[in-house]
Amino acid sequence: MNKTKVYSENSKRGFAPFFENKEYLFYIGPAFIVTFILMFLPLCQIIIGSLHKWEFGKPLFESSFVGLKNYLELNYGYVSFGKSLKLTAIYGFGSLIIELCLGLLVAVLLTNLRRARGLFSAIFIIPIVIMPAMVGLTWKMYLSYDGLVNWVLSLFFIPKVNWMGSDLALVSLILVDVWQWTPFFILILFAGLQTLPKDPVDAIRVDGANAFQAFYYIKLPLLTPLIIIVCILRIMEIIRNFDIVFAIYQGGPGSATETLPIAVWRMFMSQRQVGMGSAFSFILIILSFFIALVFINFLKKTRVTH
Amino acid sequence: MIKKLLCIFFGTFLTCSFAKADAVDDWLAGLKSKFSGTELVFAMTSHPGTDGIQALSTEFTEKTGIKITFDIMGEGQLIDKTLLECQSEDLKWDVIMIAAETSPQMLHDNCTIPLDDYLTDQTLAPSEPFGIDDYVPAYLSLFKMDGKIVALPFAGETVFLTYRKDLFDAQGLSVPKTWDEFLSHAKKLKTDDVAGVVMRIGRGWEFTYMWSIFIYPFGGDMVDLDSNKALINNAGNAASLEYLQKLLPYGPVGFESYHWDTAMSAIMEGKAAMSVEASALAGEYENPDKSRTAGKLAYAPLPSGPAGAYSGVWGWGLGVKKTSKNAEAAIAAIAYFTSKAKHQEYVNAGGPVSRTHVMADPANQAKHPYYQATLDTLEQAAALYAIGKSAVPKTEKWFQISDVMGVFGSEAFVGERSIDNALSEMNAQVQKILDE
Repeated sequence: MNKTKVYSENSKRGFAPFFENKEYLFYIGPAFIVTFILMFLPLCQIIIGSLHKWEFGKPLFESSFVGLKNYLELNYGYVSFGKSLKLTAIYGFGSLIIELCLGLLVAVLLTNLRRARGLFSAIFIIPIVIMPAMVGLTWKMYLSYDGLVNWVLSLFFIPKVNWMGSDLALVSLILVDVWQWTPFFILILFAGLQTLPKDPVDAIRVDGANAFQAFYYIKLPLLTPLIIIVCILRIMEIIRNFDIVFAIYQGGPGSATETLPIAVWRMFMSQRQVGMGSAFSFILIILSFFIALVFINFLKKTRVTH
Repeated sequence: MIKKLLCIFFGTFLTCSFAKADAVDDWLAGLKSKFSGTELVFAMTSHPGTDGIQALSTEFTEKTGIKITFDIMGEGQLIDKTLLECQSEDLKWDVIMIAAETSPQMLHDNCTIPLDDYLTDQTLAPSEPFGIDDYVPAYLSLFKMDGKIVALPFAGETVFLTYRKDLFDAQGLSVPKTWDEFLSHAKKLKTDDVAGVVMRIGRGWEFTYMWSIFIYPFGGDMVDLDSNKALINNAGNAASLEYLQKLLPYGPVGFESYHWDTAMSAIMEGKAAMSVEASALAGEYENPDKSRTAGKLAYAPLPSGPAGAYSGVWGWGLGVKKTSKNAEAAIAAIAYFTSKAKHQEYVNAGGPVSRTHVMADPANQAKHPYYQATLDTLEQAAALYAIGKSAVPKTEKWFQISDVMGVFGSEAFVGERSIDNALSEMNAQVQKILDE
């Protein structure tokens, strides 16, 4: 009882308990060490590396310090950071919006389904568990001129299109991402819809609201925190998606699909400029961090509203 | 009289064969006494050449007691791992499969052992069964840096013209002698189902690979390594890129994303009438189990451009890692696998032909219709060497240069940027790489 009181008092004093009560250290120490080794050391290496002219195969300590030169040269030279950022944004947010809308729609339809929910859930898991590289290679075949996608279009009398050309390359990538990850939204949002309280919905229906109004005014606001969490998870994943883009297009044709991860790969592996690649990577990390921050702030606001 | 002559012929043939077999056995017996019990690790990538080497390894192990383990990985992974960790003693590789374009970097980074001195040791590589002079000279020269042999070639390739005999006959076409004629043929042969031309032209090193075939015939250039100057921004290179753009409508849909594997599939599935591709793929084209067009194809050297007819050479070789604890055994093993005496057996097991005597053998030429075209195209590659140029300039910076050319070139090819702008940017970036 006394111990509980001590903890409760300590919790008001910020970091003081870390130094006063060693028991805390015992519990969080191992987790802190693991996190430090797995996250902060590589991050430190990326930051330090980005300030050096570090070349592939050379140890970092033998590389010369160049300050912010790598950051200042990001937008011209071998790879255009601005162009890659724009492509990544279109790819990321394009995929996210479609996946969210489709996922929500199917999740709502599933909640109204009386039977075979388990079967559908099992089917929806399949695309998620396939290796991204395998997804890329398979879709490379599907997207070829005589492939599955054009065959499906032909069933609806739509003429074949060149999915491998520079005009539709980014659209194709969004299509593949939507195929693989919409089920993720469906499953999470379906689970979320199942757990919503029924009373507010019943109340609004009694007041004369139709099903759409009940969904829009009651279910959707209640589901918003979950939607935001799913969006955070997905956007982080899409921003650093390398395998599928590389397997299908390798950044081409031209530079039509040179998203940030492909640009980082090129800096590291083709240009052998590890320092410059580290600068790209660090900016990618900062970008992911800020996007997550925006979503988390939005999440906090929705909780306050509720 | 005829019987007598036949007896003499077969007698001589058998004597020679036995003598060759004896020489190989003596070689292997010598290796057994010196290296029996040694274990070697070969780092290789999936490739028909790797299959050929593996087929020879069983007998080698049986007769020498040298055990070989193959560490096989993807091409990109092998190159990256090699360049990143080649100096590390923790990486327990003895033999590395080396791409020709990375061999200057291998030497620069002190990754591999120069082989020249070892190859004069008659125990490790006896002159006759090994036969260093029988390598296709252009293939061996790919792996010679500053006069030193970095690796022994075992899967050389050049780029030649492949065409469908039946489609040519139907249209009454003859083999194109110039690139203009080639373009005109592509136009005539293009239908809804069959592309006029196919080749690797996707962004990156594959674009550079193919573009380098067109650069010199159109009077272009890449770099001058003596003066360390980028020579990319010139009229010849602009003409070659314009020419490639002219081919685009006659390629398959999605041509701009074609890589070597898709180009190969298009020919094998009968979806293309002509191809400008690596000679090493021809074995697959002619395999009736895999290819619908086996027996329907013919091969020829590349057409001529305004500045001449040139091709290039590329390929893979076997080098010995500097940190290998079994360097001598490793050198003996690669000499054996790439030797003159074993090359026919290697080719029979699927390995790409890399030695002159096998390519020039009339029986082989009758069996493999692309051997003569390969020999003719190698003369075009030799002609390029003769003017002091190469499709793969020997610099450790080629990897970076090739990437810059392959990305800017592809952007110009698909119309993302103008040819002039692409060449000017490319030149500036390549100069920057050379200056660093």
